[in-house]
Amino acid sequence: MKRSWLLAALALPIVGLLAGIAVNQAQVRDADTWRLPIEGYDPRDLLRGHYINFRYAWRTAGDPRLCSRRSCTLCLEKGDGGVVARFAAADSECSAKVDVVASNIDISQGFARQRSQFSSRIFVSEVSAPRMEKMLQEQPVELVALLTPEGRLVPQTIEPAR
Amino acid sequence: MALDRKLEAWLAAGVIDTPTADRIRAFETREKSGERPVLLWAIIGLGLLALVLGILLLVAANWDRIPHALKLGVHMALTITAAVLVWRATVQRRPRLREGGLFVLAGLVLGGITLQSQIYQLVGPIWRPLLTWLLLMTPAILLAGQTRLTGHGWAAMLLATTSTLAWDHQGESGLWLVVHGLWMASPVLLLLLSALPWFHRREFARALADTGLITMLAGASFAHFAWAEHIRLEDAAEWLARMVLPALCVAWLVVAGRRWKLVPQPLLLPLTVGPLVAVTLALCIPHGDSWPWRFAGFLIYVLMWGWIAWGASRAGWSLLFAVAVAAVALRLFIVYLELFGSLASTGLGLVIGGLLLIGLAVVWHRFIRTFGRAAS
Repeated sequence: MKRSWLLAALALPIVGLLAGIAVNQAQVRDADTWRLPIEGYDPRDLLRGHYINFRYAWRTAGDPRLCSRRSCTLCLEKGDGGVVARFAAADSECSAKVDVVASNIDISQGFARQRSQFSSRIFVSEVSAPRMEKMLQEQPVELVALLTPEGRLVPQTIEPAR
Repeated sequence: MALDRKLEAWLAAGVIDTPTADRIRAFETREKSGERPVLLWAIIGLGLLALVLGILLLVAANWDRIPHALKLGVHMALTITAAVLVWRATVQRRPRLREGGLFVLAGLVLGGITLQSQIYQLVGPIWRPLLTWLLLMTPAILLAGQTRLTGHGWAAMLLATTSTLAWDHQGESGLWLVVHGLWMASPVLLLLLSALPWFHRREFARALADTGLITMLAGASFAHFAWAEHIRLEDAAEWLARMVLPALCVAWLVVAGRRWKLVPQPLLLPLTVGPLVAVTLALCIPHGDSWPWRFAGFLIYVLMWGWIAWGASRAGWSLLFAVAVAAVALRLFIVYLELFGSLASTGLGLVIGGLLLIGLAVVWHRFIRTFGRAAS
């Protein structure tokens, strides 16, 4: 075995992990912070570690036919009655665009298409999981999330609603 | 001690003489005193596993208390240290240290992917982190892995990645059928990989071959339950497309097996073509769920394992022969359950199953006698 090959092979995971940090850090560096209303359901997904599942409680507007499971873009707007998520075409002009698929947000249809529901999950530590679970059950809460320029919504934490 | 009792019994029966008994006793004492420290390696393996898992759990449990940059920094420092350890152990020709370092490095890389997923909230399907790990760690493990520890670990990760990738896209068609085929071909790929010239790393290659063989035979056995399902014409066409890659890999394996004598020649076709044909027939022929189809599936299953048993008997692989007989016996036992119903059908099932099992036991007994005679 050539030692130079082994050296390259041992460097690969280190370079790969560093590249992962660099890419993710570059994405969140230019991100805007959003506070989004959420509701909890099935608060602990025990099969996949310590995650809190939640549903976005924003109002939706626009044409839901623009949205499918493979491709869905929402444009976030701050209104008097809270945050509005407007269905938008992928190439439309919008200053706060959310790529639902890239953000790993699940879409489920309500009885009316206008009532599409958007759910996701956030990793929380073993220590803070019970506190957050209780908070979700007992008071209005908001998700503090970073919205990257590419449209990925990155959950950060859950806090009581202001 | 059990050995002493055995030796005394053999001495009394005149099977061995006193010097032979002394040599056996001396050999067994040496084995236990650490010339081949299997137990030591098992304990070290368990310790390393606990260490890696412990690091992962500690990171998860103290999520809130440690700043993100510190977590990433410490983790990267540990990963670099493990990589340097593997490199230095290679230069200094210390194989045990190198193997341990490689295992820790593999665990740390998996931990690093998990850590980044947690910090940047990269939620998604499980195959993504597994595939990332496979891409990052495969060159190092294939170049430096030398025992069953890394061999079985890497093979398990390959199977887990292709399985979860295929499972997550099970409803997809088109090019995804090739990915499904890759999942089905994974055990054969492991066998092909084990055929490469590994020189002094035979244990690593054996781990790949064992994992490939066990999963291939288990998968082919499991696939025969498809005879109790409805396979429509369009399902059969899709399965046929999925089977292209496994069929190509098996053809390659047969050629490699003939050239490099991977297994004794009587076993080559039963272990490669047998499972492929059984799986193809079960999935690529449109059929319903009725007793003639189930019976056909039963016959194909028995023929597959019977062919393996025949090859094992010719090659003198008694363990594989025993496994083949056990697999057929298990299927015969399932006949009882399938024919449960009225008193007549239950009785018929018991009679048929019982006769077949007795026949199987007779065949096994004859094999053991023949094998014993040939060995003596």
